[in-house]
Amino acid sequence: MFRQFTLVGFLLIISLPVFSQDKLMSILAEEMKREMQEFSSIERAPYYMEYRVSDFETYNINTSFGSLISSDSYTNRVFTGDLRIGDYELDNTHEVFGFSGGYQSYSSSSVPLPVENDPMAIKQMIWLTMDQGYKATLEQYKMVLNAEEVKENEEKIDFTKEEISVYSEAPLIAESIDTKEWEGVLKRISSLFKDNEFIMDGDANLQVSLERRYFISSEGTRIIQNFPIVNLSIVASILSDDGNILPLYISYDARTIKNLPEETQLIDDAKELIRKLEQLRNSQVAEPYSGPAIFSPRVSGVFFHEIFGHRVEGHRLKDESDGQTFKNKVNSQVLPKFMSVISDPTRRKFGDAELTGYYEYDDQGVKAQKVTLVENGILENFLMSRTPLLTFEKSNGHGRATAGYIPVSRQSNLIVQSDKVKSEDALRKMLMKECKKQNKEFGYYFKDVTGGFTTTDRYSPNAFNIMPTEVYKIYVDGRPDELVRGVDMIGTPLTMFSEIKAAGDVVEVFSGHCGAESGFIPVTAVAPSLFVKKIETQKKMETHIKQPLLVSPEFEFKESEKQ
Amino acid sequence: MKIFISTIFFLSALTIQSPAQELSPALKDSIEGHPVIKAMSDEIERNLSSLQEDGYSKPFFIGYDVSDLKFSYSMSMLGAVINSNSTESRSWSARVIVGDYKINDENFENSFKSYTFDPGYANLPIENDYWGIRRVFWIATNNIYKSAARNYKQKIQNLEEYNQEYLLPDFSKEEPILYYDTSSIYQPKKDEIDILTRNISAEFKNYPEFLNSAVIGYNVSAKNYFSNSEGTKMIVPMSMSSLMIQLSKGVENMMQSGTLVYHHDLFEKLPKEETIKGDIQKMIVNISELDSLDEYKEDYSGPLMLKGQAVAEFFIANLLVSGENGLIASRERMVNSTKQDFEKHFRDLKKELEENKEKKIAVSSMQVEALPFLSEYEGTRLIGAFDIDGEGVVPDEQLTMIKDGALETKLNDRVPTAGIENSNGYNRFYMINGQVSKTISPGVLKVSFSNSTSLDSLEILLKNEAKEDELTHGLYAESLELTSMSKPIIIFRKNLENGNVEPLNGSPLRLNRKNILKKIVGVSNTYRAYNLVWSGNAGSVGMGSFGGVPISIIVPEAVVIKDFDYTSYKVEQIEEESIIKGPFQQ
Repeated sequence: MFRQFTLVGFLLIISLPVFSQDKLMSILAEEMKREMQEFSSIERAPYYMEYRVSDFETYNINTSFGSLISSDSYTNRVFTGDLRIGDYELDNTHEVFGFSGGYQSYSSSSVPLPVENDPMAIKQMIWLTMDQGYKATLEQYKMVLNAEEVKENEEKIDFTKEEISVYSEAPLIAESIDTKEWEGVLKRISSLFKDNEFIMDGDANLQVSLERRYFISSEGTRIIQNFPIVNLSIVASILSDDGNILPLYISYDARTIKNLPEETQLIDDAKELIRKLEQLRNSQVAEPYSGPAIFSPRVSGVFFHEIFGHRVEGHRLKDESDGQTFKNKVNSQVLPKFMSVISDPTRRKFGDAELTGYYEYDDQGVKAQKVTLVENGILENFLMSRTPLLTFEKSNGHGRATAGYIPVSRQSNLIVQSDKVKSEDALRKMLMKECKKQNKEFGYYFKDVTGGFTTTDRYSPNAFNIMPTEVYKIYVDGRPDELVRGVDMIGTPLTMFSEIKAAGDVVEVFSGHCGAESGFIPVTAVAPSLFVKKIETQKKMETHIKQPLLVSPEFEFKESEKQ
Repeated sequence: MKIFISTIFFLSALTIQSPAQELSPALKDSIEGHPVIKAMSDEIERNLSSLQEDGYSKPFFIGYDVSDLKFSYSMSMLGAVINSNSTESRSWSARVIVGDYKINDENFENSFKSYTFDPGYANLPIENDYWGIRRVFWIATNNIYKSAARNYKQKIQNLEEYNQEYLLPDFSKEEPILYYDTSSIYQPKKDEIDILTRNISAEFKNYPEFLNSAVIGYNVSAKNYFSNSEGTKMIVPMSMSSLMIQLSKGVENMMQSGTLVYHHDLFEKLPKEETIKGDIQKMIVNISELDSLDEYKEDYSGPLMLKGQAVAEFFIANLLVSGENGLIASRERMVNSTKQDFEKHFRDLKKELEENKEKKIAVSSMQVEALPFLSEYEGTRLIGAFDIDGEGVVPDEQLTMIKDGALETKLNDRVPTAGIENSNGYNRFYMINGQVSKTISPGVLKVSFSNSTSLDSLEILLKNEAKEDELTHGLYAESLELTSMSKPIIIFRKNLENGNVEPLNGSPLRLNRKNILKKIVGVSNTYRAYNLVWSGNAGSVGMGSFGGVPISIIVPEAVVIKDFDYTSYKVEQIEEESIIKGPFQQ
């Protein structure tokens, strides 16, 4: 059993000369130079080539109801290569219709690479991958050249020219931690769930992922960055009398384990989670509703990530199959005038919270930039990778991907701001007033959320679904707030934006992993609470799970001891 | 109750012969007090006495399995480790039966079943956490029981509705046993697998045509805990190590050309590095020669002589199958379907019970014996040897399965099949991809013949059989030594006129044929043992899977089969040219 692991401290040192000391980068550079030279002698040589290598060291500890379920670690190295044939204006990635699949996919070649810095083995595997990748890319390029639509397409460039960057972070410095101790902490947290016979899941988990990411392009860019991510999660669910599993979770994200809360805090949070689960179990199932609501800052964060953030990812606006909600809305008002939205991957912290969407360079080797997306309600910009738009011809450092995927424009740290804020009390008063106006007995307060999803294409409804875990009815007649369950928030984007009427003075961070066509990437959303004039909810799917015939053996034992 | 103990290091323990020894009171306490066994036994007892849903019968049998697994894996190419990991996990399974030994919920497919929604699967703690283990089995037992209780009720209703006598019991009665092998779980030394795969893979730097060859080494070890409501409690360790060398010829597209495979129960006992490198060299020469040979494209019907490992492949393909002529027992399940289907099931079963006695399936000179405790044969370690099966049944030291060409019995577990009402101890632990389960599988099989002859005489026999068939040549085939099953094959065409032997590049042989064991006309008088990892009825374990059941088979070195139909169906592998030169080419 794995007993002792090392964890890397948060040391991001900008130190350019370390390239010469990094053996893997030297191997990559040699092979890229050799391959470009070899390709130069053939017709239709690639005009651009990039290698990305992710060196992973991952640690996991999982506990459930006070028991250690797993404690292990692994290392692996993934190579992702890409090359482009043609030129910056027209290359193999150009969108082409008229063949199966509709949209021209990006080429990508990914293989596991030796974890040891053996030059010949690494070079051999890269060559095999790139040589095969070239053949597939050439076929794509031929298809582009043969397609009639090419000349008519409005976009003039397929790949932007960007500044060459050279950047390297020092290798992560390992600090030793006591795995036994963390196993103990997590076991003590998850053992709290044993005392309630209706709790079905009661887990506490720690995952530490240390990634050292290499990027090298034939243009001369060379980047080495570290991506340490620490996540501690407490996940539990309770069974209601009507057979539904009601989940709640708490997640702590950081870039170093030292920044996780103390055990006493974690224990208190887990106890609070149990208290909420018990309340949820006794709560009523909410009926479908349409009317006023308040979103907590975390819910607002997810709301903006789903319904706004995904629709300002630039590459989608070039894709004819996408809904392109905002394509022609630049310089138009899309949000209330009091609201602004920025994307800032250069920001490491918000208050005490570490922002996991932080990076120095994106996965196309472009320097990360703070981008104002919406200023005073007016749409100004998009999140851009090196796939340009007619009016946005440069990347702003948002080309992101996980290992094995080709980068596209993605979110990082999405920050929603309001220049007119109201207190929580004021928001409640606005809600009640609006409820009366709409003749509603109550409005909703969405306090916490597990996540959401949205569809942006044209083939299905351009809608979103936010999955709240903690929802309260706020009664107009002054009754205490009532916790309800079984609610999902649904809607369509443009309608929802027009319903935002006010923002609160409390701002919080929601951290998570966003999944899309370039893989799962860490993101955050920073937002204030919001008052919306009208939202719509639907019922969650029901499960009808039955309570076990016998009580848990430990619960039975403890009960017999009491007697 | 039988009591059995082994305190010898478990490799040696495999050689222990029955009868069982009496456990000392201290060791008896030791097994019964072991936290895993105790947690399982206590939860079994609680559920057996208290678990019952209104309107349904109580469970009559509960059995729990826990397996602690240690899995070490390494893959290297060109002298560099690409992937290496070492994991520890604990897997579990539970069996809850409702009814009794004669009629219960098993061997029944309830196709109109209404599903119950129950709490889901839970992982078992990896520590010996008494309450944590009980918690998982509590939920599992609840869920399995509810499903079993409904199935049983439906089955009884079906039998009553169609007024059908139940011909074969559902579950055999076996004597409870206490078995405790105290050896610790084996794990290779840290880096040992990395070092071997790295060093072996570096050898391919000397063979530019085989640069993309991969070397995979792994060890999977387990300690299996089992407890059931009849009183059986056992702790059984096991281990299996393999080294696989996947030879890929071709500059770019990694055409697989052959595989060298080595198995042992301990990683350190695999052949030495230099031996393996010698085998690689030999294999590469063979593959290169094979590629230079003409392809045998004729369709042929006549005598075939199999030599070497191809003989083992031939017997495995024809014996280790379920169905009427195979050695693996199987039972058709009764299906809750139409009355016609129901009646057909019982008609077929009745026919099977009447016909299945001493059926002739091979030539009269052929015998097959199961020798589960035989751990060595002429200097070859037999990895299939075992003491006790996964249900706590100790197999007999010797079991005659085919006698004078007639099928005497089959390998069975506790589910009775036609003619075999009790388990003969072959429900073996099966380790694959981080899980332990059980499957009916042999341990060590010996295939022998009462009339055998020299290899030279077999050559003459081949010639005579071919002449009788008015052929101009006869064929003999062998797998390249040390390759995995069925590929590649060299066909040797023996010209009857001048006696010349011409080697040819042949198609993989389809060895599993109906009644082919009755067409054996000659066997050699020399025997050889082979080890392999078997994946149950699915066949041999391929490169993508790690684990299976270790088995051994002792077979003649050569056999001659008459009336063998050979069809050439080789699929051409086309090697694509690379666009640019590779680093090694420069």
